[in-house]
Amino acid sequence: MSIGPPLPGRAHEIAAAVRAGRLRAVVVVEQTLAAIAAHGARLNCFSATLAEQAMGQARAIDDAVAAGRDPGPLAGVPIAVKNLFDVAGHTTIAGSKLLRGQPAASADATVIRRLREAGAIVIGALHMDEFAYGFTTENSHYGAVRNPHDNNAIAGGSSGGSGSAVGAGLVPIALGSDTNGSVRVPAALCGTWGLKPSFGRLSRQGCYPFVDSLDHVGSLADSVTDLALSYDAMQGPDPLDPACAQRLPDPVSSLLDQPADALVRGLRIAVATGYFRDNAEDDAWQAVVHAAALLGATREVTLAHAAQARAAAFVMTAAEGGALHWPALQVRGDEFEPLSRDRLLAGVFMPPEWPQRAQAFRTWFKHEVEQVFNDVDVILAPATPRTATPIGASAMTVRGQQMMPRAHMGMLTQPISFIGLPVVLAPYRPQGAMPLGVQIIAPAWREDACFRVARALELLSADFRPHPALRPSLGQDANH
Amino acid sequence: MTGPHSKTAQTDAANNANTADAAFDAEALLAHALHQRQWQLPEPWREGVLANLHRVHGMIAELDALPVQAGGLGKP
Repeated sequence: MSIGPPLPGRAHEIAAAVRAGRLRAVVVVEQTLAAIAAHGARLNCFSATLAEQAMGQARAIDDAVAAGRDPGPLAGVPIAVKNLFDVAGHTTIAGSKLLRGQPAASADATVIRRLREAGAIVIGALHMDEFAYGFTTENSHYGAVRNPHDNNAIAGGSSGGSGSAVGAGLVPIALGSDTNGSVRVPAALCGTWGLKPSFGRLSRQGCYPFVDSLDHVGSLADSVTDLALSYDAMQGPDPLDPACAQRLPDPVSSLLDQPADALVRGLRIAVATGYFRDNAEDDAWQAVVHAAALLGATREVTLAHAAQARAAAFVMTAAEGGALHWPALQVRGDEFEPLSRDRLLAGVFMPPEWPQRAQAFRTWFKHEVEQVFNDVDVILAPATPRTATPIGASAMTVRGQQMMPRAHMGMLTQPISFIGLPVVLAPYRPQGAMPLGVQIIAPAWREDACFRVARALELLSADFRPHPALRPSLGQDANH
Repeated sequence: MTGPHSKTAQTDAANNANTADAAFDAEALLAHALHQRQWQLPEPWREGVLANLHRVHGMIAELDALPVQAGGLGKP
């Protein structure tokens, strides 16, 4: 398939070339828009492109370079954002039909403003599950987002457009949100790196909410370096999000330029068994086994009550999501995605004692897992029970059990986001196979440990490097 | 008095809130919740909402065996 000029490469390569004056940002934007025009409709990942705004920003960056000013570490890098982030001048629809008629956002979300300040260019908005409730991005209003590695398969969700766009190579970085696994699931199924930071690390201001107790902002990228650049640009306290911690940024980019053995020296790395082993197909589990072998990790840990953590996250999600949408459900319920509507209404009608019990368990489980981290620094676990299912499949088989992809593809991510731990999602894709992922989990505020292990895996094996569907050569070399 | 607003139905709903056994009655819980909110559920949605109440109940029941301070009921 021909797409005209070659697609720009990784974010850090683009930024280096733009800052040095070797590449003009307007050319990057033109090429990216051309690639989206050629492939975006087939993948159904973009809900909107912002050509005029992006070209204006690109011209400003080129002018800055010409004037001798540094436009920032992401200079000229095209990024795309899940359509629940406010982008000034663009209506935030959060995957819904309900919000289509709302006025355009008057300002950028905090994280988008920070990315623009670092030189990134917002090229478009991306499809998602309605109101972020789902793991498949089979949206009845806008159609299913397609997996770039098998167009008949789901991209995962709820940030499915983000996974598809980065997995295809249309953009090197995309923003997503992760309440129960909505960055990690599409990153795993589409073969990209993904970040769900500690709860409270990144501002959610200007991000359409879902479950206030569990919502996180994160990013997907086609290299660890790019993931780190996006993370570093977004960090910092924000009084406009009460849940955002008053912590100074902890940059990680500067940690990553080391050999693999130096990156993981001193880190006690273990594999999570029990629930995570019991609910993963063999290939999903092998991803973890392979990562552990590369890292020399022989230790195993069990997160007792992980199944209950997943169950409690499920209850809290329904209850808080239902409460959020109850006013609209009463008068415009027929405009909701039917499967989401039924789940949200069940959340409204459940006895109040149920989410209270789930909250009590959350406190208890968090303390239990903190004890595990007295003995280890990083835990590896599978990200999804299996590879992407066919679009339209109402059931999938996991260890002989039938379950619904829409609700269960995130069953291995939910126990972790439930207690707000940071996770970097490592993509795993042996030659000829569909992508899977490994969760690299650390104690709260230790994203640095996640990134160290992630970069080591990227250096150690081509199986842990993305192979963007439209730029497969990118996966061959990690030394960028 | 019978029907969803009867004393019996409300007691059933209250029991549903505090226990998680096989006797869970999603119909009674739904009737009680709708009465509390003075809202009528469109009939075509009923089956899906009941199915989801059963699913959520199944989830909360997983906590039953935990100690009370851990969100459970302290039941073995």
